[in-house]
Amino acid sequence: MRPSQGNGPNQRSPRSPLDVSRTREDFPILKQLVRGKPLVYLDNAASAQKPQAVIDALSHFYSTNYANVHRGIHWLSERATETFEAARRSVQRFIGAAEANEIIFVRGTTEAINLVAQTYGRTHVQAGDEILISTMEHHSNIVPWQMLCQATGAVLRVAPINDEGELLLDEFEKLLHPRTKLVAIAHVSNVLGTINPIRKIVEIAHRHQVPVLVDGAQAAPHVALDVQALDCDFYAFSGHKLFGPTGVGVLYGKASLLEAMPPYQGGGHMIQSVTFEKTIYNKVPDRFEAGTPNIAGVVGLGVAIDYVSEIGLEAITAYERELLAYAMDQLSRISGLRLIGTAKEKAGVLSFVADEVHPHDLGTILDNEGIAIRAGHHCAQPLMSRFGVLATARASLAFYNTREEIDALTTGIRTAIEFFT
Amino acid sequence: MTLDMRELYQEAILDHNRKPRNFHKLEGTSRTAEGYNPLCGDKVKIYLKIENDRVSDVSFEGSGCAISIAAASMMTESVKGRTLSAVQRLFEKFHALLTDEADAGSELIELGKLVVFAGVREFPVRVKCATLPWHTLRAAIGNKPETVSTDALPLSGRPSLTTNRVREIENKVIEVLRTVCDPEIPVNIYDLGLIYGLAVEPSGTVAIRMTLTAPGCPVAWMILREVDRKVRTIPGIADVKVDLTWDPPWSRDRMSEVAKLQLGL
Ligand SMILES: Cc1ncc(COP(=O)(O)O)c(C=O)c1O
Repeated sequence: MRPSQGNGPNQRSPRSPLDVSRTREDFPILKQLVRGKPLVYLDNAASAQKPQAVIDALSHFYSTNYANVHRGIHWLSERATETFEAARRSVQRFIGAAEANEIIFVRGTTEAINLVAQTYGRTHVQAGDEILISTMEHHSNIVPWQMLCQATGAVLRVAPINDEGELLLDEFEKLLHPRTKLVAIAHVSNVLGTINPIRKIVEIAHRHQVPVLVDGAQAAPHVALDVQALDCDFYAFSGHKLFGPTGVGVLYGKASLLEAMPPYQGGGHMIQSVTFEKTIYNKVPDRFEAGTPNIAGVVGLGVAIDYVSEIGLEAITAYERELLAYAMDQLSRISGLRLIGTAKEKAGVLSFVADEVHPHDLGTILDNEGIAIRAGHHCAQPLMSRFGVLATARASLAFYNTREEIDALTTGIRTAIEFFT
Repeated sequence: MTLDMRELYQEAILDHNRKPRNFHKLEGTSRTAEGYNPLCGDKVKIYLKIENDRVSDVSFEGSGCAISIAAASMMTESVKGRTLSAVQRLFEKFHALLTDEADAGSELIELGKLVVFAGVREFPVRVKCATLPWHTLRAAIGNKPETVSTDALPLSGRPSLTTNRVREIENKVIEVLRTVCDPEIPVNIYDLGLIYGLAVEPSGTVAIRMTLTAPGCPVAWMILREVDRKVRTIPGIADVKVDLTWDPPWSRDRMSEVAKLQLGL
């Protein structure tokens, strides 16, 4: 594979540009044949593949350091706890949090958002209050708020987007009321690829004294993060989309907010003392991590983060931007194909519909060529209706994808269109 | 376009997708039902008229993939005029065509042109696309107002292979591997000892782990592809996975006695 490193002139040049043939070597799954053809994995927004370092780390951890955490008085439990807490510090550095205590380990983005809805939401939101989201949200940043609204009598408001798939900031600001209790918004859209101007959004919301939760599921693998610079109040992401194991994710919250929040689930580890009359809750973040956590998952996530940091998010962003530009250009040359999501600030997610080919059929034909994409509503049905479609086909990039793979995709789409017309 | 795809997307399916028959609303009936596939967002609405236990008229509206549109279109053509019990029988035969291993000849005749959907059996995730209109039709016959969702339909796909069948397939795979030769050494790859692992899963997936005689072999892809292609032709196999490994490296003492004899070693 040819490394492609065309940095635009007005871009900061990364420390060292990404060598794609080398990074591909780190991902054993990419070497296999699918249906007799080399695998072209373009479903990274659904879940990303795992580097050998992460795969090995799980095995190594179970072989040498495994025990339950935070409760053993024995040597092994201490080692496991140390490894576990080191991963918390890796996450802290990765997202630029002020303290490690602001990192809560959860199952994934979905659980992180539900946690905030059920704790912060339940204590701050009352009948007649409002929660503000946007049209481009994933179901997991819609449904938890609907549930909260149903339980409290609050109202869900939705900020509109334009035809390119960009948030309309003016409209957004108009929707902020004295009764708005929280803004919940995606950093990067999983369908459109739009990168929302989070810094600006937070600034506007804070001007109205409204805290902001950011759904970073699609941003964490592609965009360098600094939650303090963004000044967001909560930030959620999933390990499995960040080249880590499944079943582990992160909720970041500002310490001042977390400390004032009631616990999420009750159980072991989240308490300081329990009598049948009264339970004293543990400090943050333990209060939100009831029960035995996904210990190996957390350790694996730490290693994934170290792996990604070593390549460097600047290098990743630069590489992916160039690959995305190439892909957008190639796809836009296919007649009868409509790209959905053409924001100026865009990450490596390409949604498209073909006039004559249903996304599902397109998916099957590409699959037959060894190309994995996703077809469907991508858990964003309100967004589908915004663009007047029931489903799209979606190719989503990671830093191990190549121009050759984009070429395979384009050829596959052309073949499918020919076949059906 | 590869052969597989023509098997799935038969000409008749493409034709019905481009020009769906009975694709409109049917006035003067309240007998309707809606079907929905949450996986891909496919929607279908069936309109039905029944007179004397017979389908006197049927039509549909909706949007979906080629398989689901063609299935709905061809379904309306084949059930019009039939008695309700005949429709039920046809549904069962159609379902069996998509999900069962055995395809008895007599059933195919009864299915008529619906046999073009036989290829869908090889694509388990697509089976529900073809059966959704039929399930929706049954809901309309039963006058059930709630939307039929493919989530509630029974899991389709192949039944898992018996242990005996797994063994049979393993032997066939070895037979086939013995027909693939290494370009450098004129002995088949099985007797050369290039196959490090061979597993037939009950799902019908064959996993092969293999090496080549020399790393950096320029025709590596070709050999792997040949293995994949040939193994794939064995009946009863759902999928083939070929993994190339260099660990441990191949050496001459991995060759079978047959191979050594053949090379005069
Ligand atoms: C934007 C966005 N938010 C939230 C989620 C949910 O993530 P998870 O399923 O890992 O909880 C996803 C995953 O597809 C996503 O793309």
